[in-house]
Amino acid sequence: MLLTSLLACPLLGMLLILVLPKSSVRWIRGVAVVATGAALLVGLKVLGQFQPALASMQFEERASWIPQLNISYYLGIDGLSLPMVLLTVLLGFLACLASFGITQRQKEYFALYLLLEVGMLGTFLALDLFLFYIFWEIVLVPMYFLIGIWGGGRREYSAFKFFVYTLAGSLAMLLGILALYLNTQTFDLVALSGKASQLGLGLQKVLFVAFFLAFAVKVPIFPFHTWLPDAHVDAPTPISVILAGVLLKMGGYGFFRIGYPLFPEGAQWFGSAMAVLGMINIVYGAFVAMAQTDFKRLVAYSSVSHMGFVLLGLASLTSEGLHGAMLQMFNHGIITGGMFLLVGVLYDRAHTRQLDAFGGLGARVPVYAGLLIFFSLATLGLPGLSGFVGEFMAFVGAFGVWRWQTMVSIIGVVIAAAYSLRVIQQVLLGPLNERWASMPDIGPREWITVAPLVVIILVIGIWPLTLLHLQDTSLQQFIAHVTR
Amino acid sequence: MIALLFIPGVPLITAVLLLLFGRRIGKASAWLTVLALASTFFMTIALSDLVFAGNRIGFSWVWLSQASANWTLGLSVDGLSWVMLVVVTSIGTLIALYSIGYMHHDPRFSRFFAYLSLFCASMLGLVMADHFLLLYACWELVGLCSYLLISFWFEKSAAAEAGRKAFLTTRIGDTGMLLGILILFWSSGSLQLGNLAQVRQTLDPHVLTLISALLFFGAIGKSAQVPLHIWLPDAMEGPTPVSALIHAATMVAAGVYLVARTFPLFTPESLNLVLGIGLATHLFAATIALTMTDIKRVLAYSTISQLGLMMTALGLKAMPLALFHLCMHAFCKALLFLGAGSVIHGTHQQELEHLRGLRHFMPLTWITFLIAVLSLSGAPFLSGFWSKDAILLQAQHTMSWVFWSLVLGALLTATYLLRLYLRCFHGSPSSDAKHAHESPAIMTAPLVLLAIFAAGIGLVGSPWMHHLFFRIIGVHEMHEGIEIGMVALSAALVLGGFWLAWQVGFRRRQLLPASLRPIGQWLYQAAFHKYYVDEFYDKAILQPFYAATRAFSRFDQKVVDGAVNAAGSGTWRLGQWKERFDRLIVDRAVNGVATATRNLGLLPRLIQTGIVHPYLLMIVVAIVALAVGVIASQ
Amino acid sequence: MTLRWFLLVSHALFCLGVFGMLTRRNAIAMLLSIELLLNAAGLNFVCFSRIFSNAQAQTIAFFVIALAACEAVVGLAIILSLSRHAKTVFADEAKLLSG
Repeated sequence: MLLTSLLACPLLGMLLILVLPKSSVRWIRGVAVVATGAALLVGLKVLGQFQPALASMQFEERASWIPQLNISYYLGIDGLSLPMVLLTVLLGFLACLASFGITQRQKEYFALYLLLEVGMLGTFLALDLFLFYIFWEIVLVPMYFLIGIWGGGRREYSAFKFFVYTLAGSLAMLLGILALYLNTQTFDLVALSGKASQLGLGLQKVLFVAFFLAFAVKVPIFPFHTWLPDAHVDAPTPISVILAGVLLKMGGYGFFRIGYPLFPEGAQWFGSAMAVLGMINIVYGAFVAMAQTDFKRLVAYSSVSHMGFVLLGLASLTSEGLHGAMLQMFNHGIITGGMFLLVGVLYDRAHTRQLDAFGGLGARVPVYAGLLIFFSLATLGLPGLSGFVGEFMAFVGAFGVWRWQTMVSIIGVVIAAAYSLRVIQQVLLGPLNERWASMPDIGPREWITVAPLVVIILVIGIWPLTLLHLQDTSLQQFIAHVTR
Repeated sequence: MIALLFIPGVPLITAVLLLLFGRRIGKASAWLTVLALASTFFMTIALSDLVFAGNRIGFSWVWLSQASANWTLGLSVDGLSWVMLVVVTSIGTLIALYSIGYMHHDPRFSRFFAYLSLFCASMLGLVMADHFLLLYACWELVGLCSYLLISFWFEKSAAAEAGRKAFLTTRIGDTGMLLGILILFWSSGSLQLGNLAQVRQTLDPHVLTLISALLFFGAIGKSAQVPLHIWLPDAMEGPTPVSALIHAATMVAAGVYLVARTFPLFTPESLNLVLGIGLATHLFAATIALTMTDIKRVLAYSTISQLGLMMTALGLKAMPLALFHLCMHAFCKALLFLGAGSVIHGTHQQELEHLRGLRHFMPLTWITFLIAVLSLSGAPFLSGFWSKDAILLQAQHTMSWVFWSLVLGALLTATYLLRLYLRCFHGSPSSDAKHAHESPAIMTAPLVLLAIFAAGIGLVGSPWMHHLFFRIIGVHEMHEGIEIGMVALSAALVLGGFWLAWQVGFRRRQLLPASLRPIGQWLYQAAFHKYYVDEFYDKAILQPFYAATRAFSRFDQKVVDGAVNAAGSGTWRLGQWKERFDRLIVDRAVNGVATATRNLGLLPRLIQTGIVHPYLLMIVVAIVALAVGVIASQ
Repeated sequence: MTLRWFLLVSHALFCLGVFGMLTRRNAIAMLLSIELLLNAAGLNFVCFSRIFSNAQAQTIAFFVIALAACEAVVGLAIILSLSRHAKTVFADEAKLLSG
C-alpha cells in the first residue's frame, strides 16, 4: 500500500483544500506543505525499504479495474523509476515552499498544484499502460491552468501552446497503445516487455516512432522543443521548477520504461537517429542559449542542451551511457530546478529578467552570488558537482558507439561554459548597477528551498554511487533485455 | 595509504571552512591557510623516504560502479609527483604568507584565502591523481580557481573579463583532453595513469598519436602555448600573488606536468608537434616580452616563453629536464612575481615609465629580484642555469637547429629580464619611486626564502649533487661533469643580454643601421601589439561565434517556432475555411431543400381555405366524378 | 308501388341534403342537411331490404339512425363550442384550418 499512499498524500491534500474556505490562505498553504511533505516522507520510506539488488518490480500493487479490457490498477517501482519518484517528491515539496510567493487565488493554485503532483507521481509509478496514459494526460490539465492563470507575459499563448503541443504528441501514443493492445491483448507493462519478441520488426518500428513522438515533445527533442522556452518563461517560478525538473523527465522516463523495453529492435533501429538528435539538442540548445538575453529563456534553452545528453546516453545502450542518461535526468532536475528558483529570487526583487539590466551584484548580495555561481558551475559541468558525472558518463558510453556524434557534442560543453560564465558575468560581476544598490540578499525561505539541492549536487558529484547503486541492477537487466 | 588523502584534503577542508565561515574567522583565515599549506608541505617531506626508495604509494577507492574496475579512482605518489608536490606546497605556503601582507586591506580577505587553498588543493589533487578522470576533474577545478582568483576584483570589468577568458580558453583545450581520454578509454579500456607503459604496448601507433596529440591540446590550453596563449597576459588583472601562483606552481605547470605524466603515450609524431609548438611559443612570447611596458605583462610573456622551453624539452624526449626546468622556473618566477608585487605594493604603479631607481628605496626587493633575474637568465651556477644548460645540451645532441633557436631564445630571455630589472631598479628615481617604501616583513620574508631557493635549489639537479633530482624521478643515467663550453656560452648569453638591455632597453640607443630602422620599427610595433592575435581571434572566431549564436536563435524563433506557430495558425485558418464551407455550401443545401419544399407547399395551400363549404363541394364533385367514371366504365 | 318511387324520394332527399349542405352558411342548417343525407341512405336500405327480403339491410338502417343521432350530438357540441369561442355559427367564418 506504500505506493498508493504515496499517490494518496497529494490527492487527499487536494480534496482537503477544495473544502477549505477560500480566505483561509494560511490553512491552504499548510495543507499543501503537509501533503507534499508527507509525500516526501513516504518517498524516503520507499527509498529506505528499496532493495537495490533486486531487478524485479518492488512494492507491487495490483487491482483489477476494467477486467473486460484487461486493465488494472497496477503500481510498482524499480531502479529506473525510483530516482524519478524521489526527484518528484523532493522538487514537489521544495516548489510548494517556493509557491508561498503566489498572492492570488491560492486555493485554486494549491489544489491544481497537488493534482499535478498526483499526475507526475502516477506516471512514474504506473505499470499499466492504460493507467500510465491517464496519469500522463492528467498532468496536462493543471499545468495548463497553472501557466495560464498564474503566469506572466504571454501566458495564455504559452499555456495553450504547451497543452496542444503535448496533446498532439500524446495522440500518437494513444494510437500506439491501441495498436499494441490489439496485438497483445494486455496493458501490463511487465508482461508487454516480455512479449516484445512477438511483435514483428515492422510493427516495432511503427510503434516506437509513435511513442517517440509523444516522448519527444515532452523531453523535448529538437525540433519539438519550442513550447519549452515559452512555457518556462511565462510560468510562475515554482511551476518552472516542476516543468523543468520533473515534466521533462517524464519523456526521458518514457523511453526507459516503454520505448526501449517494449520495442527493443525498433529502438535499436532508431538508435542512430537518436544519437544525432541528442547531438543536435546538445549543440543547438547551447548555441541558442548563448544568444538569449532573458535569464529564464537562457536556462530554458540550456535544458534543451542538457536533455540531449540523456538521448546520447540512451542511444549508446552501454552501461556507462545509460547510467549517465539516468543520472543526467536526475541531475538536470536538481540543477535546473535550483537555477529556476534562483532566477525567481532575482525576479522577485528586480521584476526583470533581462541579463544586461543587472551587473555587479556579487558584492551586494554575496550569499545569492555564491549560490548562483554554484549552480552555474553545476550547469557547465564542473567536476565535483553532479552535472559533470552524468555528462561524462554519457560521453564515455556514447563515444564507443556513436563516434562523431559524441565528438560534435563535446562542443556543447565549451558553449555551456560560455553561457554559464556569461550569466555570472552579467549578473554578478563588473561595476554595481546603481538601480540595485539596495537589493536585499536571499531570505531564509528561499534559502531552505535551495539548500537541499546544493547538498544533493555535491553528494552526487563527489560520490555518484549513492544514486548509481539504486539503478544499477535494473539498468543491467534493461541492457540485457534490450540488446538481447 | 589513506594518509595521502590529507595532502589535498587539508587545504580543501580549509577552503570549505573559509568559504562557509570566512567572515567570522576574519584575519585568522590567512594563518589557517598558511598552516594548512605548510602542513601539506611537511606531509610531503615526510613521504620522502618512501619516494627516494623508488616506491609508488597509492590509495584508491571505487567511484562509479562496483561492477567495473575501470572506475577505481586513486591518489598516488611517485618521484614525479612528489617533486611537483614539493614545489606546489612550498611555493604555495610562501605565497600565502606573502598574501597576508599584500591583501591586507582587501574587504574580501578571507574569500581570497579560501580560493587560494582551493587552488592548491586542486593542484595537489591533479598532481597525485592516479586516474585520468580524477586528473581531469582536478584539472577543471584548477581552471575554476584561476577563474575565481583572476576575477577576484570583479568590480573591475577588465578583471571579470580576464577571468572568463582564462576559463573559456583553457576549457577549449580541455575538450581536446576529454576527447583524448574518451579515445583512450575505448581503445584500451583503462584510464589508470599508473600503467601507461603497458597501455602503449597494446595500442596502434596512430591511435596513440591521436590520443597524445589531444592530451597535448589540453596542455596547450593550460600551459598557454601558442594558439591558446591569449588568456595568460590578461590574467594579470588578478591580484599579484595569484599571478605568482598561477605562473609558478599551479595552473600553467599543470600542462607540462600532464605531458610529463602521460609521456609514455607520446609517439615521435606527437612529440614533434610538442617540439614545434613549444619552440614557436618560446621565441614568439620572448619577442613580445621585449616590448611590453607593464611589469607584470613582461613577466607573463616570460612565463609563456619559459613554458615553451619546457615543451621544447619534452619534444626533445627529455621529460626529466622539462620537469627540472619547471621546478627551477617555478621558484624564479614566483620570486619575480612576488618582487613585482612588492614593487606595486610600494609604489602603486606597474608601468615601467613610472618606475625608476627603486633600488635605493626597496633594497630587499631589489636584491631578490636581481637574483631571480640572473637565475632565470641562466647565469652560471644559479638554479636556472642548471636546467637551461641541460636542455641546451640535449638539443645540441639531437637537433642543431633547435639548439640554435634555443640559444637565440636564451639571449632574448636574458635581454628582456635584464631590461625589466634595469628599468625598474636603476636610473634616477621617478616621482612615484621616491615615495616608495619597502614592503613589510611578512612580504619580504618569503622573498628572501624564495631568493635562496632561486639561487641554490638548482644544485639538486647538478652533477655536484649527483643529479639527486633526476634520481628521485627515476632517471639514473645522467651526463656527469660540467661542460665548460656550455658554462661559457651561458655566461656569454647573459652578458650579451645585459649589453643589449643596457644599450637598447635602458639607454634607448638605436643599434640598427638607418636603412633597417623601418623594418625594426615595424617588427617592434607588431610585437608590441602581440602580433594582433587577440584581434585576429576576435574577428575570426569570436565575432563569427556570436553571429552564429544569434543566427541559431533567430532560426529557432523564426523557423522552428515559426513552423509550430504556422501549424497552429494553419489549423486556425483551415477551421475558418471549413466554417465558411459549412455556412456557404452545406448549410445552403439544407436550407435550399427546405425552401423548395415550402414553396411547393404554397400551391396546395391555395385549396386549403379552412372553410367547410369548398371542401364539401370538392367531395361532392369528386363523388359525382367517381360515379360517372364507374358508370361509364361499365 | 314500385321501387322506382321510393328511390326517387330518396334521391330527392339526398339531392336536397347535398344542396342544403353546400349552400347553407349556418352550421345548424348544414347539420340538418346532413340528417337529410343520412335519412336518404336509410330509406334506400329499408327499400332494398323489402325487395330483396334481406334483414341485414334493415339492421344497417338502424345503425344509420343511431349514427345520425350520434352525429347530431357531436356536431351540436362542436357548433356550441364554435359559437362560444368565435361568437358565430356560420361555417364560412370559421377558418382556423386555413393553409
